[in-house]
This record gives sequence, C-alpha cells and structure tokens, in this order.
Amino acid sequence: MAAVAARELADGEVVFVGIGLPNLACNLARRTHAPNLVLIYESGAVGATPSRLPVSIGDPALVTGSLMVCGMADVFQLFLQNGRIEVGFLGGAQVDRHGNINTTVIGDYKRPKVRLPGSGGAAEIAIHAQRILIVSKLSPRTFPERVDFVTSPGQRVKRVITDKAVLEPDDKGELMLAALYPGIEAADVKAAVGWNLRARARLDRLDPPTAAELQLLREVLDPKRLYLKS
Amino acid sequence: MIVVVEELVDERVIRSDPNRTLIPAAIVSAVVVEPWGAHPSYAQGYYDRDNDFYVGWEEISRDRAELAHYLDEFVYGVQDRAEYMKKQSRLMERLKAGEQRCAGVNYGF
Repeated sequence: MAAVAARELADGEVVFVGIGLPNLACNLARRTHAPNLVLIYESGAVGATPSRLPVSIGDPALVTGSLMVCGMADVFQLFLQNGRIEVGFLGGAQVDRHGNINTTVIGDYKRPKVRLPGSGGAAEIAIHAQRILIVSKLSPRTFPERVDFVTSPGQRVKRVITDKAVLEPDDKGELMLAALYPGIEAADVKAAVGWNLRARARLDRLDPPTAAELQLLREVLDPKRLYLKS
Repeated sequence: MIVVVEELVDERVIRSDPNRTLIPAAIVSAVVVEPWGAHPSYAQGYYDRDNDFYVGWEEISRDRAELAHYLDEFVYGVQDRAEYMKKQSRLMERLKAGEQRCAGVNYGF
C-alpha cells in the first residue's frame, strides 16, 4: 500500500501529510522519484525533511531542516484554505461508496458503539486539498455502503489505495474498481466491500513494489515495523 | 501561566535574539526550573522526543492494572522529576540532543 501510494505523488507537489501509512508513502516518494516533494504537517512544519519516520506530528525531526515552522492556524488558513495543498492523504475507520470517511463514531452518534478520536485536520483537508488520496485496508467492515457518520466528505477523493486494489470515483463520485494488485481478482475485491462494487471496463494490473522500494521501506524508513505489516 | 524551563539565563541572552521569544514575561505567573521537565516530549536543543515511550504507552494505558502499576512506580513512587529520570536507566543518555546549530542572526541595522 505504501509503495502504491508513493507512486501517486509527483515530484515537487505540496502534500499535507498524516501519521501512519501516508507518512511512510510520502517519505518513500521523497527518497525515490519525488525528492522535491513539499511535506506539510498539521503541527506547522512546512517543507519538512525528517531524517527518521515520525510517529507523531509533534516530532522534532520535522522541524530540523524544514523550510518553515508556522502555527497551526497558518497551516490551515494560509496553506490549506488558500488552496495551496495539492494532495491530502487520509484514512479512517470507515470509508463508504462515495469516499466519505468516518473517524467519529461506530454506531449511532447519540448511542455510540465505539467513539473514535474524531476528525483532527481531516475534515478540513478533505474539502480544501486539490485531490484526496485515501489509504486503507479492504474489508466489508471498513468499507460499508454508507458510513455511520460523515466526518470527512468524499467529493475530492481521487483514488482509494487498499491492500488489494485501487478504487477510483466515477463522474458521479461513486467508487469503482480501477486496478488490481498482483495475484488478486476482481471477485476478491467485490467480496471485501459492503456494496455492489462496479468495475471499470478495463482494469489495470499494478506492479508490485520493487526490491529497492521494499528495502527502503523495511530497512530504512520503518525498521521497527510501526506501520508496515510484514 | 506557569512556565517550566530547562535553565534560567541572563535577560541579555533573550534580548540578543528577540525573534525567538515565544512567551513574554508579561503573561507569566511563575517559572519552574526543572531539567527534563518535558519528558516524554522534547525540548529543542536539549533532548529528543521519547518516541519509544509513546509507542509503549498504548499498551500500558490500555490495561487498568498496568496503568495503576505504572503510576505507582513512576508518578506516585517518585519524589520529583530528577528521581523519575534517574529511575530509568540510560534514558538521559539515549535522548540527549545532538548538535545542529544555525549560523546565527545579525541584528545590526
């Protein structure tokens, strides 16, 4: 997932980075085809070049060597709301057929089954970034037809990168199967999603991570396997 | 507002680089000098963020008994921050900041 997500980024793009797999993907991209990627973190680090994988947006490695450290208000107003963020990476407990993300509550808001941490910056990123990439493992529980709560609306989602396939919205915003990972068939993906998933007429077949990408991920970027599942 | 600091310096040090003053005295009610006071978080130029602690905290905080045990050992069971730090072997060694100084600023005009 990290390798596929990294390939979505073009060199020089301005990316709003979240903790977790998005972080891994952005730093992999920076060390491979996109060395001039401009990473912006919610905490105010702009043009960050972390020498280690941060486990929090508040990691000092994000400050050392960055272009600028500004307040959170500036990140969200000056950069995000002014339309200067080209890519926003998001993930969540639930993603639905229109790319809406739920990180608020499982079950009824007034009588919750599980209360989740909430939006963080996600709701803002979802509506202001020029394009949204979602990174999330596929399962019927994670991909219901409708999320229990719309924390972050899906209108700017361009691609959903999962562990089996890539989904893309059609012109009405409904997610469709667009590309398959090696060894995966369309039926596997349809079974892992909570709605009747339609497929593009022509499905792409994605390349697996290269040996170089794997080595970077496993030995350099995430040696403690905080985010990679071996 | 109460400010916890690594060290007290002469006012001249602050006045030599006012661009970096984040909190003015006008809003400070009290100052506490407590080295390593920010652990497990960091103090720029003094010590690193203890990322291992934050990762390990997930397990500790998930279990009531584990949490109680942690609090007994590291919160209720220590006299002060100095004792808290000394209790964790090699911690200060592991986290002490390296050197990466900038060129400095010319405030001349």
